Amino acid sequence: MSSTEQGTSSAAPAEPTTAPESAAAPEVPESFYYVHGKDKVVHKVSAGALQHSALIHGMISNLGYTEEQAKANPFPFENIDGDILQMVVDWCNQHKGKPTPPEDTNLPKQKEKLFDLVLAVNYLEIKELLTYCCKQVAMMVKGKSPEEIREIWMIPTDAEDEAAEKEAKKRAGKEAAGETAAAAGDAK
Amino acid sequence: MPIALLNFPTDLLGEVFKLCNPFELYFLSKCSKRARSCVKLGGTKHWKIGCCCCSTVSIECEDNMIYDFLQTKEPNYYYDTAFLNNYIEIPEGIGELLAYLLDTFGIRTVKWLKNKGRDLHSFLQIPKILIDRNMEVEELWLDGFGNEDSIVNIMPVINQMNITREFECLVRPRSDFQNHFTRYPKRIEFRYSFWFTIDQLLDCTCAHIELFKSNLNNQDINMFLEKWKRAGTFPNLQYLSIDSKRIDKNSSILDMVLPIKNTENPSKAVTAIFRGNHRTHCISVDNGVKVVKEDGTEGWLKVELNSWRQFQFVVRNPDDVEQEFENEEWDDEEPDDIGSDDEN
Repeated sequence: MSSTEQGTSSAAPAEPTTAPESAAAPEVPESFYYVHGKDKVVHKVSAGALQHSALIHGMISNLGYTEEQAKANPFPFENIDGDILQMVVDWCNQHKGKPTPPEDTNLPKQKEKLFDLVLAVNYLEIKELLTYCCKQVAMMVKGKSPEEIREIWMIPTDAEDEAAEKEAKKRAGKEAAGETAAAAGDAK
Repeated sequence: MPIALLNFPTDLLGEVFKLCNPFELYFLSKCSKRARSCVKLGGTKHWKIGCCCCSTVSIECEDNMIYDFLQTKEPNYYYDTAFLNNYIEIPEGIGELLAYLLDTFGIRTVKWLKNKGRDLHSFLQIPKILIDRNMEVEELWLDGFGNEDSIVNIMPVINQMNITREFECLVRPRSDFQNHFTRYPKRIEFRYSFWFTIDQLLDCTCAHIELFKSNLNNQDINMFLEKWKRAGTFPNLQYLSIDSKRIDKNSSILDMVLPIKNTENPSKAVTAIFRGNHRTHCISVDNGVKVVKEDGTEGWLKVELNSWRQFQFVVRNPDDVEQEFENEEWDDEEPDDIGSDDEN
C-alpha cells in the first residue's frame, strides 16, 4: 500500500515500507516516486507499481530522478480527484510486478466512482485496469432493455440533446459577444 | 449507479463498445440519434451480416459469434433477450431492420442472403437495399416453389448485385425465361438452367459451375472444350458439370464417342473443392479422360449416359493429390431414350 500525507507537495513523505525479502536474495533498493491529485495529498509509490501506468513510467524513464529529486517533485495530477488517485495507487501497489488475472477481485468496487476512475485510468494509461473498468461499464447493460440502457448510461433523449445544443450555442454566442465588447473596451 | 457514458472521450467509448454485443449496441442506438451515431466506434464495420428473408437478420462478429434478430408480431417478446443470449425478437420488418443495422453499424459485407419460403416478391426489397448501399454479397441462395413469374422480376435486380462467392438458384423459371449475367461470382449452381446458353457458358468466369436441367448438347460441350484447350481461356475454372437430356450418343465430343470414361487400370480420381462460407463442395471425378490445354494444364472429362446424363470436367490443380484405384465392374444402365432430343 502507498503512504499518503496530507498537505502540499513539498511535505516530507513517510519512510518507504519495504517488503520482507528472503535472506538469500540480494538487497536491491527500491526507488519511490510521489504523486498527488486535486486534493494535494501526496502518495508515495514504488517505481515497480508505477510501471502499470505507461504515462508515469514514461515520465520516470525520461526524468531519471534521484530519490531526493523525486521527493521534491511529486507528479501533479490536478485533473484527478484525490480519492480516485488513491484507488489507482492502491491497485498499482497490489499488482506490482505481476500480471492482472482475468477476473480481478482486488479492483475498486465503488461503482459511483466508476466514471471518474475510467477517465483517470485512461489518462494515466493503465491498460489492464482500463480494460477491466471498460468491462465493468459494458457489464452494466448486459441483458437490459433499451429503456434501462438509457437510464444506466444516462443517454439524453433527442429533445434533450437538441435543447443542450441550443443552450451551448446561446452560451457561445454570449461569450463571443462579451469578448468582442471587452476587446472594444481595451481598444478605447 | 448510472454513468454518463456519452461524456466519455471518443477512444474510451470505443473501448467500452468493443465489449458490447450487437444486441446491446442495437439497443443503445435506439436511445437517441447521438447514441446511434457513436456505436460504430465499437469496430462494428468489421462485422458481417446475413439475411434469411423474411424472418431473420444475423450478425457475425469478429470472434465468429452469431447474433440473430428475429421478427415477431408479439409485443410481449419485443427486445426479449432473457430467454437465450444469441437471439432477440424485434418488431421491425426484415427489410427495415436490415437497412437500419447496415447504416447503424456501417457493415460492408453481406455474408449470406437467402429467401426461405415461397414469396420471392417480398424478397425483392432486400436486393434493392443492398444495391443502394453498394454492398458486397458473398453468397446468395434462391429457393422456393411457385415462383416462376417472380424470378423474371428478380433476376434483373440480382444482376445489379455484387455477388462475389456463390449464387445458387433452385427456382424453376417459366420456359420462356431469359437472362444474361454481366458478372459472375466464383461459384454458380442453377437447378433449372435451360436458359443458360452456350454463349453465356463461353463467357463465364466462375471457378465452379453446376448446371442442372440444361439445354446444352454435345456440340455446345465440344465448343466449350475447344475453347478451354486454348491457352489463357477460363483461367479460374476448376469444375464444370452439365446435366442435360440433350447429351446423347449421336455425336462425339472431342472426337470421342459417348459415353466417355477411362477404362484403363489403375484409374485416377481428380477432385475439385470449393470452400463456401457454410458448405464445402468437394466433387471427385473418377475414370475421367485427360484433356491437355495448350499451356500444359490438365483437365479430366467424363460423360455418363446413365439415367443421369451428365458431363463433368475437372481442371487438375497441380497441388492436388491424385488418388489411384482399380476399376470395378459396374452396370451402365442406359435409358431407353438415349439418342433422342427431348425437351427438358
